[in-house]
Amino acid sequence: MSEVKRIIVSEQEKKVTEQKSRRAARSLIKWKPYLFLLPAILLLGVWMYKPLLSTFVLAFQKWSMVPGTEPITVGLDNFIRLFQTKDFIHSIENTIFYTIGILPFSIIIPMLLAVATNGLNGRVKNVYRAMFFIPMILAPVTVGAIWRWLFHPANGLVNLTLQKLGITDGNISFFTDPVYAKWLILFMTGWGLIGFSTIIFSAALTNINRDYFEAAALDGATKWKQLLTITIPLLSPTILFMLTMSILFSSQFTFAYIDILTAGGPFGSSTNIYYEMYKYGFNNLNAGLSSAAATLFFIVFAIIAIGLNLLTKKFAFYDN
Amino acid sequence: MGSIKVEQIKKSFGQKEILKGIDVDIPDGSFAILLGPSGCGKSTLLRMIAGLEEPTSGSIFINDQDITYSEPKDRDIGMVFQNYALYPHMTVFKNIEYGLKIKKIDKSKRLNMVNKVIEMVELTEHANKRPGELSGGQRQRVALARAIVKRPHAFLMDEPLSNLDAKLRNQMRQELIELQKELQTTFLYVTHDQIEAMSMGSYIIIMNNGHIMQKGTPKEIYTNPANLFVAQFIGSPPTNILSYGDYSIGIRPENMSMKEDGHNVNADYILTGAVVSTEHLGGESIYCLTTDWGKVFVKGESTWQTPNKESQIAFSKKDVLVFDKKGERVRDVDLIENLLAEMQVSNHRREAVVL
Amino acid sequence: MKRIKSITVLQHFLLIMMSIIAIFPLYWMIISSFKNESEIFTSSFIPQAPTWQNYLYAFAEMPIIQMLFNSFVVATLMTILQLATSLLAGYALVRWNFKGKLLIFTLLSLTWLIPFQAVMIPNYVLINQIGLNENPLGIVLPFAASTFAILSIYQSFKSFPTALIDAARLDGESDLGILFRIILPNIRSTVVSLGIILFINAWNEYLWPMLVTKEMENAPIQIGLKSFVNSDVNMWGSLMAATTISCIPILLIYLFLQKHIVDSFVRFGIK
Ligand SMILES: Nc1ncnc2c1ncn2[C@@H]1O[C@H](COP(=O)(O)OP(=O)(O)OP(=O)(O)O)[C@@H](O)[C@H]1O
Ligand SMILES: [Mg+2]
Repeated sequence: MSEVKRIIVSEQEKKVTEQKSRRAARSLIKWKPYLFLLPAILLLGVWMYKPLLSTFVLAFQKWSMVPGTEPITVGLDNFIRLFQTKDFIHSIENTIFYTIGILPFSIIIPMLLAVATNGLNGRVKNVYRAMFFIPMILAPVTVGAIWRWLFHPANGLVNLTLQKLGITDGNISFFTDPVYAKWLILFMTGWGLIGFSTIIFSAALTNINRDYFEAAALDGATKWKQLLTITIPLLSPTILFMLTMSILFSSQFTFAYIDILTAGGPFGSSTNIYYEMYKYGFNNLNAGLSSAAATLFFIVFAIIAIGLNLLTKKFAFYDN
Repeated sequence: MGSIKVEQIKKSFGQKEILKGIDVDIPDGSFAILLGPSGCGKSTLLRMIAGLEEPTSGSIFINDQDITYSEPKDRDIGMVFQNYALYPHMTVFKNIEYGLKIKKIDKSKRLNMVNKVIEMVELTEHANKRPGELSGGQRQRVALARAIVKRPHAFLMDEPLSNLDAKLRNQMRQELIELQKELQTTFLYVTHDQIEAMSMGSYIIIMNNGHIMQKGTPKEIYTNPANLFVAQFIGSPPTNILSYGDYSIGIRPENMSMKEDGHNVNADYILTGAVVSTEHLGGESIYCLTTDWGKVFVKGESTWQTPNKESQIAFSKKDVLVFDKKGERVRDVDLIENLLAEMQVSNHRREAVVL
Repeated sequence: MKRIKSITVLQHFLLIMMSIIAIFPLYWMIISSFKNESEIFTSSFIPQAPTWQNYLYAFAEMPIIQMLFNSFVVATLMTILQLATSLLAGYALVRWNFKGKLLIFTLLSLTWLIPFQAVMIPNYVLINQIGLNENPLGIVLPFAASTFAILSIYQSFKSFPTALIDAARLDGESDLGILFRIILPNIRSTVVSLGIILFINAWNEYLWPMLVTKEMENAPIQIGLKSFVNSDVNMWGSLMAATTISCIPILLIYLFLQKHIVDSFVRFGIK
């Protein structure tokens, strides 16, 4: 009798342990998602998040990046120095200048162009698209080199043409002139973006239901009124997307041209904040100052980005 | 060869409990139907039996083997999906062959098996086409073939015919029934279409809201519903419900008749109502009447006549289903009789008379 | 009728103007590279006596072949690694629900906000510490995982029918098998387009390669060009020749896969 009982009990135990071991095998599978994500997480951790933290720490230190030397903690010195540096103040002004200045090229003109050319037929449209796109795929160095040559003070096409047309009579050194330099950099960046943005807006426009416009036309709305009351509200997700892109990347785009064409000059008149970070770090070998600028900017930047994100969510309902 | 047993299965997605303790026991070789309204958790249960989803608690057995936590491929199960889920980049042949290839079955045997199944589902001339070039019915057959070729213990089908047009659906129903007879394998077939369930299954499981409402043969379910939900869910038009106090009295439209038809002379009760509409369907007619206890549908032989505005409806005692406040069936004969008697008393038109 | 026509003319005029503005610099680069020494400083729009002289000089001045090769190695490696890491990550994100998914996803997405200039100093120090400076791997490694690629892949995986994944699981396919034999063949064109964008971006990258490589022999072509631009020699013809050469791979890809590229930029946005 007790023998039988024991067998039953041990059978039950066996069943339980079996199920346990199955569960254990199953929990191994639970690791799979992390395994698949590991390369990405590891790489982004090592090359993005960890260095970002190091930058925050370096912002309170003084270090010239000489191997074998150690950073010295200096408190808020770097931040104080930053605001005493004229170029840094310039760079903030210019960053704002570039960020706002880029908007006509990334939003206003492209949107008008897209509206004006809406409804063009397929193949022709593709040819234009193909050409609009070229500035987007060229390397910044390439673009920099070409524009430098076009605007060469003595023999560039622009100077030659201006003189031929009798508009100017002497050579203009565009990239060493404090006024021209930063406008030129803005135009170059705008030139790179305008075609791309037009394509984005065109694509968004073709997705808008034609019925809206027909209904509005029946209501007797003028073209201008249609633009204000229908097109722009319906395009608002795209507008916000391009706004976010412009703000996030305009400094990135201008960086390359500043570096290649003016090195921030003359007298810091064309520099932007990214270029200052680069200059402090790799020209002046002042890692602390560069990191302080990075830290400051990162915070401002994050606040703007979060704000834009909230705005995008708010307008998302226009998106179908 | 392939019984399916589910014990106390619960499943939650986040905070929401979708399955609330499901017990099912499907004997080997039966054509079982899982029936329930949309969103009640049928697919979720099926996916757990297939191993595509893990239950929060409970166990699943196939052939008395606990497979609750084993991989789908170790369960020997064939599945047919609602949208067929054929690999778009492979030919019909490759689609069917794919599982065997992974199982590393050697080539000559594999080709043999695939060709046989392709023949069986009559797709030989389409073997080298891609799914995109096939019609809905043909895709459905490929999906079937893909499941069949593995010779599984059981087939799981999640609304496999819902994307076909009515005619093709009828034809495929017949084919599935024949296929099941031929294979002698357990089928578990999900649908929310009660006609499909009644006409195909040998065993029906009705679910609602994460609970099982009733299990049994089509006849049991139809003639002897365990609760209000089943009574209303099965049958078309649905069972008439007369509300009386805490009770619901259910009588199927086909169990009622218009008194002037002359049929149903041995009906036990008569109820008076006003005819609202009449629908002649050819073989039969459906009348809609309003009574003191609610709207009532009556299904009877077609007389092609418009009934009198005031009509009498006859029905017998044995067809009366009574449910309590919670929707559970009441089987107490005395209580039922009292109830009906009471209703007559309070019927002020006094036309309903016990014969 | 007439009104419609005049609108179309205006449309084309606008578009043609835009097109000219977009491609003129490229045109000017190419013709300048074929102008001889005396013609280079004139504004002629077609070279009167085309010459290869500028190209010969450019090749003599810089190890162009070596640098093109470096660029090719770096861009290819970067593209492959970015695709690989994003395919794996994208698959995990659509295939499983797991603890911390939202956190991980957020962390991945937030790297958008980190400008490279904010991390370049610690990364520069690290690369030098592990001795990967002057090494293509040193250029590639910090960019081996790209948030842009991960989010793009995730987007396209999300629209892939999950029933197909379920079917493959029932067929006994492994996760890598599902990824490479079921999902990938069906979204091949999307992945190819993304790969092209990644390759172009990698090819055009210059700030980080400039920090990592000091020797011309180890540097990608962009670095060579940059030092040529800044070297203040008045050799504009050969600078344009070198620039033209550096563009050729990109322009060739563009010529053949133009529609692909434009479509995917529209779909994925900019990096
Ligand atoms: N992965 C999931 N995550 C969260 N909720 C889910 C998930 N899968 C299913 N659900 C929810 O579980 C409930 C049951 O879904 P299920 O697909 O099983 O219903 P169903 O009975 O098959 O319905 P239908 O007849 O419409 O196919 C639904 O409310 C659904 O929203
Ligand atoms: Mg379902």
